Amino acid sequence: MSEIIVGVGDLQVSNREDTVITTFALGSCIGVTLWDPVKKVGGMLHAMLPDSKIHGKATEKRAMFVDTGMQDFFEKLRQMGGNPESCQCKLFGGAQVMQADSFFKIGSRNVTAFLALAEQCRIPVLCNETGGQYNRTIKFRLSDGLVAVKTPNLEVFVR
Amino acid sequence: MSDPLPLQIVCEMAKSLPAAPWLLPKLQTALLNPDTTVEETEALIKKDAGLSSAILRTANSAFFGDTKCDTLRNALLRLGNREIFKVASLTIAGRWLSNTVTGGYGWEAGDLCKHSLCVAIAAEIIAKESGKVPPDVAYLAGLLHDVGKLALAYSCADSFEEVRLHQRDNQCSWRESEKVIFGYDHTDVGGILLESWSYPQNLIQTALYYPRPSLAAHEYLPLIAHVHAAKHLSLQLGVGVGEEGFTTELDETVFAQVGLTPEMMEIAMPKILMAAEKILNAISAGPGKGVSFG
Repeated sequence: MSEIIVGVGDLQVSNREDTVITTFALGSCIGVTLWDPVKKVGGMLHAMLPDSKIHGKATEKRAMFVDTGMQDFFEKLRQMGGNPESCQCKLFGGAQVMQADSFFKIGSRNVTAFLALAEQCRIPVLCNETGGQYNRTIKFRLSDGLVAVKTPNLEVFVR
Repeated sequence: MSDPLPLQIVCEMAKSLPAAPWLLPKLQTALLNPDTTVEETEALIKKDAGLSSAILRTANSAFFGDTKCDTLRNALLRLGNREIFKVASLTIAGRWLSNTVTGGYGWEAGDLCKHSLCVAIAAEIIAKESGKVPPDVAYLAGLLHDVGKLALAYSCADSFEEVRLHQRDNQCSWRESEKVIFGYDHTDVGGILLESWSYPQNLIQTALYYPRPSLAAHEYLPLIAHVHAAKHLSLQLGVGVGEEGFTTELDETVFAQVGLTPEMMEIAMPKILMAAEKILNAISAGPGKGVSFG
């Protein structure tokens, strides 16, 4: 079993069934997993902000943003032999500070941006494990598409 | 519950944790004084073998030149006061914050240090953007803002379940829940600790008021508002955040008072991530970290 680590603002895709893809400590960032059950190709995006448009040079790191990150995600999946339209999609993260009332609603802005994009691309979201006031570490297993979720001081659960 | 430990006992117990950062304010005073000689700085730094080694290592890194620096004095001359202080802040405060206290806040080993580093880097970047606060002061204030949490987790971890339940049942901030259960909270502890180590008032005030900047003395508001913003920008990244993180108080009104705009903060986020990435990658935990499919 090999493990691939996805950093913040990072994207990883694999077509090896014996792979687990992990990202640590999703805060208001979102973690998106796509898994093609037929081709056994899958990947994970760890995006930090909803929209790349105001960031200029920072968009060199395209996976930081939901819009450019998802474009690259679809492209990489296709390159590995997967079909984004037939993928199972799961969404994690998007935590929010309890008293956020304007700028710091980043978590919900990320989730909203992703769900709008998924609808536009006609990708059903099988699992939406988002919100709340805690971070999440997730491990995605390519052999069966399951995702293990760990939050501080709670038992691991699988989605 | 059993009676909570008195605040003074919690602070005294924290002083028994290894690597207390008492040297840092003395070094800061010396480095800010233009009359301090390199011999005097060297004498201070020699008191700490780990810091001496970090200074030599930095001076001999490719970034600072090709020729070897084989004495501490040469290394100090090469780096200059600003860089010396940055290395000292990270080495001394980082070492204390790296004490393994995993109970209480749901931290994995090293989490507090990683989160504090993120806040320090974020505060420095925002200060550079705003021009309202010296960036090196913002960095140190960010690095030290949560010292009280380590002390509280070290001495009172057994009572944290009550803090957790009170927070959950009342949907208050974690700090307020600490106050109800213990009679004091981690900011009270942090303020006393920094005062006992003779830190300057601006850093003491930051430890006391970073969750509630509007309560701080007016002269410290810009610095504390920057740390408040840095804290919340770092929370968004999630790195090293314990279970209390997202129940930290947030006052978005103070940002406008000190000229921090939402656009400024949004643009800062990728910069913070990229600046923090090198350090975080170097110290991040490897595969595993307690998660499995069970």
